[in-house]
Amino acid sequence: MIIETVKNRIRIKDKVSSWEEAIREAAQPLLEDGCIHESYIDAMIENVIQNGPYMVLIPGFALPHARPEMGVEKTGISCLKLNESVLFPENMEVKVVMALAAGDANTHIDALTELTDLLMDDDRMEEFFNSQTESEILGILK
Amino acid sequence: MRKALHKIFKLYSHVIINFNGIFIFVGVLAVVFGDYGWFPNKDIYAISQFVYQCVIPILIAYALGNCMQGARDGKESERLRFGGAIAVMATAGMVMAERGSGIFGAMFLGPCCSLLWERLILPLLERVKSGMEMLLRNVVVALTGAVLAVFSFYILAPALSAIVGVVFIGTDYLINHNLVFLLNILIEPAKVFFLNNVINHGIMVPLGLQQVNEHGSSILFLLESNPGPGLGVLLALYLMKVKKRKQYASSMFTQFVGGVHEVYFPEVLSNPWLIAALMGGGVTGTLCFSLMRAAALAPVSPGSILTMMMVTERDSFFAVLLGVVLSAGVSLILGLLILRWREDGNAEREGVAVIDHPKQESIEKQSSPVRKVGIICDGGVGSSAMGAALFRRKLKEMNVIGIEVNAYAGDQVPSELDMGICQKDFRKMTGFELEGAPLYEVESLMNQAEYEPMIEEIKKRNGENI
Repeated sequence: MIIETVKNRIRIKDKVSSWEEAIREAAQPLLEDGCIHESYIDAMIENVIQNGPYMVLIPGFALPHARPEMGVEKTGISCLKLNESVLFPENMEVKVVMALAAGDANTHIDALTELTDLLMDDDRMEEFFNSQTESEILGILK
Repeated sequence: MRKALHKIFKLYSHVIINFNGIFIFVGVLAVVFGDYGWFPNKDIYAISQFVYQCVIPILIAYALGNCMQGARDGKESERLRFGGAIAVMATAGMVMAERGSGIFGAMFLGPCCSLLWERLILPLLERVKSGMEMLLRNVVVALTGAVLAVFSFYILAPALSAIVGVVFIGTDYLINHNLVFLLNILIEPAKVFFLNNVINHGIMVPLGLQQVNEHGSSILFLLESNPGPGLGVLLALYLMKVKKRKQYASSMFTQFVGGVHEVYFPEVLSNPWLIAALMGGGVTGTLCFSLMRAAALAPVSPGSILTMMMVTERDSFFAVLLGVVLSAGVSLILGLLILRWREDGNAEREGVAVIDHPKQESIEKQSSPVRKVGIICDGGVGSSAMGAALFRRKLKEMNVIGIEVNAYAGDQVPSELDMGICQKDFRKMTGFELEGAPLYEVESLMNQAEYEPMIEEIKKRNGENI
């Protein structure tokens, strides 16, 4: 499930200069696929500023998102893997950024449930943080 | 009751902010193309007045009629959509009876219709067999709307006019006794209840026009339309509430330049002490106008600084400007004092509340079994959805069944929730609170260890009910 939406939307970078850039970079595939409008990216960044970095769900992993009405066309998830972690507000280190565009509250529940299972699995997350290639990541998500 | 009112004022503010663009449209068109504008044009002015008197009331009625109960998932909103439809019909009666009172009508009828739909009509409809429900629903909606439209046309609007008539006589008395400045003590509170048009067009303008006939100009046009007090209060809010600055800045523009005062009413309603700041500013401004014998040649509508300048007599130009600036200044200072004082008060009270937080929740919700749990964040689609997934998993692991876990956006939490969970910083930064159910904080929505004690509590509360 999650692999279907993330496939072809994975980017790997050595590092980025700021958490804002991390979100922009992570969301780029969604923008290219027409899942979101530019405004949605700004909304995700604004969301972190306004509501705090609660999207850093576990240390090392962030799931930036905003409200559907801020510019979501269709549901999708994309992934940015950083080799060097970037600092989110309140000094939270992040190496994996998954941008979530949710068209409504229901369609992506299965994908998120799967993602929840992954996040709870320390071994797989360790692999995820150390992964270097797209195929490695796809292997972990499977 | 207090909570309910607070909720309604929050809704007002939400609705007004959403329509800010339309308000600016109305203000700008009226200022530029009004009778005393730069390019007087009756047709374009008529568009702005149509939007202001008809479109905005209808939009507000629809929005308020629907949003007393916030719910996100499709089924709920489907059920709820008809409160708005009824409110629209009821407000239409008001608009046709008394054009200026449309917004007031919508503000009043919207929440009423929503309640009516929620509490009375919907429960009745649900008893009907499901096949009949659809057909019956539309008929019931139409009939209720019709009855309410007639009611607002023949009863509500005339009742409002009758009250206005009494106030009219009182106003006349004050004017004859040179006590015009006292009027602001009445005007400012009435304004924030969205009676601004009723006051201006029902009282100030007729009396003012009478004075114009006698003396050539009137001070009355300057009272309700003075944008100074509102500007002062918005400035005070701007200075004190850093987080909502952008919103206040845009409100200031709409209010002061666009002349649409509605934008600050909800802010004042949710902090009623600010009415004192408005009164102080209003009285100061009017005192200044009357001492310096300032007067306007025609009604100031909309109440924008630009319109005001355009219709004042040339030799009272300075007096009017001074009056506006003084009233803004007085309102600003009073507003700052009030906000500071209220903030201290609130901080103290919140301090107490935090300590015995679980106890102060309603006892019924505390001991009754938990059926519905809501994980709450800003959007209700991302982190809270994952939190909900994790919570469900945890429930299963701990063998607790029969519990519905959903994710919600902060402003769309349904009232029948038994328990709410949100992230600590989210609560701190947005000031989010839950009504009628305990709200638990977690460090992280993805930390399953934090959910365990909550599930333990659910087990305890549900006991054998599981």
